[in-house]
Amino acid sequence: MSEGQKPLATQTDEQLIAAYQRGAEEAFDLIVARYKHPLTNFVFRFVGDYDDCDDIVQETFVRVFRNKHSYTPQAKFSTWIYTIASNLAKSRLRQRERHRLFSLSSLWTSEGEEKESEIPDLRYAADRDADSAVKHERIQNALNSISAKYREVVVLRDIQEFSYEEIAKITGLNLGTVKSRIKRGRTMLQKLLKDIIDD
Amino acid sequence: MSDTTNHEEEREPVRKILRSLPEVKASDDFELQLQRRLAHEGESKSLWSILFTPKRIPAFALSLMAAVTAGVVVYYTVLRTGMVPEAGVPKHEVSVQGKEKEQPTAPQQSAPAPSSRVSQGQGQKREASGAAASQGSVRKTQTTASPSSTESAQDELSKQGVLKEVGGAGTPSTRIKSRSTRPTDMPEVPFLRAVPHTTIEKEYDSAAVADSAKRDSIKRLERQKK
Repeated sequence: MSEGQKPLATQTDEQLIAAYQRGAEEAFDLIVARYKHPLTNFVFRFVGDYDDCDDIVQETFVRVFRNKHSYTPQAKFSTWIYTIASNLAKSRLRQRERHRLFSLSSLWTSEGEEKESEIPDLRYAADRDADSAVKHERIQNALNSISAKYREVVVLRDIQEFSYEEIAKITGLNLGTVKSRIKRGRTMLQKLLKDIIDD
Repeated sequence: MSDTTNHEEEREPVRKILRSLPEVKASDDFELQLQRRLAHEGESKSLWSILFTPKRIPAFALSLMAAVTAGVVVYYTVLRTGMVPEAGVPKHEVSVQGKEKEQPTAPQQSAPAPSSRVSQGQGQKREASGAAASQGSVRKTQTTASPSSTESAQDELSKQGVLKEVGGAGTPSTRIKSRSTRPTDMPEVPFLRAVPHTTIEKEYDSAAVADSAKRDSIKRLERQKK
């Protein structure tokens, strides 16, 4: 059975995108179905806000839709789509940081008053156990508190389970930098989550 | 996704904690929202791409080219055509007669005075029709003088450096003549329109001084011969 005769659902990501480049619109729908949850998980753990995460993942697929011909089979499709998502997430973080710096509301925040929350919205979390929810919230808060450059690589490695080489391609960093940042990020998280780790 | 974790990394506590986090999933209406977004993207793109999508021409290259073109145009239209030579105008070109103005600046000793070549009769007639009365006797004297005496007088004067002030060929007669006929002769040398009259006057003043010195020396020589 040739590639073209195999049902699209059984084809690899690279075959799907090739089919989509040839004009098979249903291949794009399959790509969306395959990647929407993993991308949402990655972007949410990286950005820390669900609404932003939803918007970023949709924008990622819009970019794939618009620039399908810019993908070449030299790289893995997952590397390509995660690169787009990562870049969009970083842009959103920078935008958020600029808004936070110039935000007037931060000037009037006093002790006891709620600040602009960085606690992620976990209303779509699968696990609804209260203790687990609190624990997961703490882990996410710890992730949010470390620098974005460490957070990105730690999430890609320890949550998305990419290889060091793939992370280097996604982030555009060299292998040594990727490894050192992952190590540094884990060290920071270990300090923040010491009580959870000890449990 | 390939998994190339080593065993040490598997025992990493932070890794275990992070892997215990639940997977955050996309919303139920994710694909519906995406379809709406793609439909909107298709509609707006045509208008946007027609009006605002820039062509793939670097803006910097265009502006640089425009600046270079403007500079070249300004240079050729304004600076080059507007150029007026101010300094270094050879003084010998101030003289009126067309022949003399083409001659390069030459010391008096190398060029024999034109008046010396003129026969006595012709010289008197031509030069008598000229300018000021104070200098008429000079002309007459010059025409009667022998070529050799005139040349030697000129040599003497050039040694003194008097004639150098005037600079260039041209007999006193032509200089005097040009004083009176200068306005009509001026257009022959176009760039001289910009030369102020005072400058020319100064040149003729020094020429008059040289003339008188020359006359005196010639008289002296004639007396000696007699």
